[in-house]
Amino acid sequence: MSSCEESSIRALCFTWIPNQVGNDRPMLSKYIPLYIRYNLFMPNFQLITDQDIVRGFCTDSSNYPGYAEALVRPKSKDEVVEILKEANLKKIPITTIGNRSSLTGSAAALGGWILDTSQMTKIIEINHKEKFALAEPGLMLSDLKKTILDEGLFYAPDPTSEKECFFGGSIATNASGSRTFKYGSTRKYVRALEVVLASGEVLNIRRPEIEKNTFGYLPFQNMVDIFVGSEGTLGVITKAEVELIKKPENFFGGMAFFKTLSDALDFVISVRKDLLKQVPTITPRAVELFDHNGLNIIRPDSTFKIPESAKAGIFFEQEYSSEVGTALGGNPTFEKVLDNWLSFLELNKALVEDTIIAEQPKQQEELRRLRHKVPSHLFEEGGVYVKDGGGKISTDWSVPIGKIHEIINYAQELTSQTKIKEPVIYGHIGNGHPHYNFIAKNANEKKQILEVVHKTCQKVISLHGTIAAEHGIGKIKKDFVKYQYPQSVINAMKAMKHSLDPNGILAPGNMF
Amino acid sequence: MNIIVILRQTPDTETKIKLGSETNKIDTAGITWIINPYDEFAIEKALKIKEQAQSGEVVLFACGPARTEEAIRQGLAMGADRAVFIKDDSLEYVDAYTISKLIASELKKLSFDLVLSGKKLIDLESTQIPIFVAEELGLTHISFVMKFNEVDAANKKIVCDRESEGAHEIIEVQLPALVTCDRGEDYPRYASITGIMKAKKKEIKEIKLENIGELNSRTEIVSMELPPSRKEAKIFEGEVPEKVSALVKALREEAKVI
Repeated sequence: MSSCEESSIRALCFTWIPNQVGNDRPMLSKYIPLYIRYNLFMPNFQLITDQDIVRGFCTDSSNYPGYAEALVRPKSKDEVVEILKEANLKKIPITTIGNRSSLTGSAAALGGWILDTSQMTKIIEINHKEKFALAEPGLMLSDLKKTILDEGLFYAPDPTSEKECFFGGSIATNASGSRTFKYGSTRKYVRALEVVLASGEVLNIRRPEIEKNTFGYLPFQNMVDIFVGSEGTLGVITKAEVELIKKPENFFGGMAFFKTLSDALDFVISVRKDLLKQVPTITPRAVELFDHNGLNIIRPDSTFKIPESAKAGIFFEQEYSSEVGTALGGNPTFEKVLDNWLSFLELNKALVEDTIIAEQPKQQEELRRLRHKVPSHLFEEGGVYVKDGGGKISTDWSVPIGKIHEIINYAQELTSQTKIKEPVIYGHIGNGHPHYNFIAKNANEKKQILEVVHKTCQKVISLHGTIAAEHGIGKIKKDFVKYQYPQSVINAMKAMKHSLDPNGILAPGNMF
Repeated sequence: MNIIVILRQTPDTETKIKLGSETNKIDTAGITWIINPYDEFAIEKALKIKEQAQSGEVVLFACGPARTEEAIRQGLAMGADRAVFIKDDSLEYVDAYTISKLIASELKKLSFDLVLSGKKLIDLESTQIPIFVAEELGLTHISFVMKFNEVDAANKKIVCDRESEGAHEIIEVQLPALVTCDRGEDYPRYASITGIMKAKKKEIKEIKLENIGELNSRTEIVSMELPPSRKEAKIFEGEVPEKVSALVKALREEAKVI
């Protein structure tokens, strides 16, 4: 007998339905085997209870240890309705998953059923006239974006994991990426959602197009924004309409180097100040940081020279049009915009002679690949130490750009008081959102690092920042929530969750 | 050491080639043009030699339609010193023999120690132009060179490493000579922002076609067709056990491989 068969039989005989949410261990009070109970009495959808299969869907990129009794893979909204009605009736937890690229454990189930959206992959409409795409949640985001681009339009959100995340997941987490600097995060582009609530009720909600409205609390005037970034706690997104924009004509990438991290941060502050001018000198769409440790990570792979004297680098992208730009913005031509960049870099202490420009597609791709190399390198490096109680510890805080020096100095000072290895500081610096990531070699180092992170997060809040700018809270950042919101506000959020999901079946363990 | 690099412009490697309305031409609308990647390796090798020798110049030499100027500017932005450009839109569809005749007739007028070019063009998979040029000029030529083991500017001598059939041939040659380049360990450098700005001021000497000769192609592309599209993959729907059964059945009954 194969191990797979053995395991199926084990699942058949010994796995039992929990009888209430939060009770995540098999309950002997239910004396009907799972497979028979689920699949004889629920003909409208099929549950997979083979633990060999189910286990493969239990965690996400955070490696948070999840577990579940069954996996269900609906092909349509109607099936989602059936599943949720059944689960709600029996109070079975439902964790909705995309491609599980979450870094916070939000896609790791804590018991119950895993609702896998991967079978809902239809692009229902790409509308050129009204510039929107209507699609199901289970498409790989990069595939959807490519299809849209091939039709001459552009879907702006570009999470770093766009080749590994689903469209639905990117909405449920309000994902963002390097081009968020110019285009904003996913939220801005979501026009309408079809959501199945815990009760099975289908909500069709649309961002209001009216300019004036005085009825209701603000979040309820626009329910779309309540569901975007709700981490699967309020409903299951079964369809989404997102706004598309005109495809940018051309762009170039580049990398500028600085003698100190402080010079690089000053450069970013100058970019933000410059953008406030009526006619900005430069209008980058991405402004990303590499500190000296980040530069050391990409150096062996880099096909361009990273000067030895560089202690920080800024990766940028700039769009331009083939036509002469208008005086009030638009995208000026390549030569003009490059001239502007040159004078701006000179003025802001960049190592100008070493600043490289990626004009050709393969070079642009290479720059983005190097940018993506930093988190994947850290993920691998951290993975080595997990067995000793260590691992990668990432932060996701962000502060208003004017406070960036203060928070980085504060965090560096805290780190220098310990014996832990320097963090790698990289990422979305244009949005005041660097990832400040540590590698802990063992449990003792992890403890020290977490102390630094806790203190840094408290400082972040005192500087009017946020503890979670793009990854969400999931299950692993809940300890930090208390710094950002008073208990009364957290209670109000819980109350809203309770009113939409009275049995608390959706994504238990996420956010609260 | 004075080096000349012959370059051509080709469609970007990601381009989806479409046929034009005339069946012997491709549809060039929407194509992103790049420096032929192997020619880019040649530019990189030339710049490295110049940097090592700390003297001489790198001259780009192009023969093609007006759009080629963009590739020349990119090469100048990488660090080449100047360019010579036989520019005419009628050069879009002429054969390798004709192009090499034109290049050779102008190269005769220049002084150089070494001529480099890519080992092949990625669009037509042609390796002929630089070899024809060498023959036309009576130059020694070595093809598919991965790297230069030695460049002796004083004694006008180079040692090349050429990969062939799983072996390395080490060839010493007296200059002047013509070498076609593979990548080896050379990644083309990115243009620096100052390099791009300086490139705008570098000389591109344009030569009019009518001043150097006529186009007498010896070969002609009669027709082009796209390769037959691959059979669509068969995707099995349903749950894993059903899919496995369907796959086994198809392998046995349709593909007859098990």
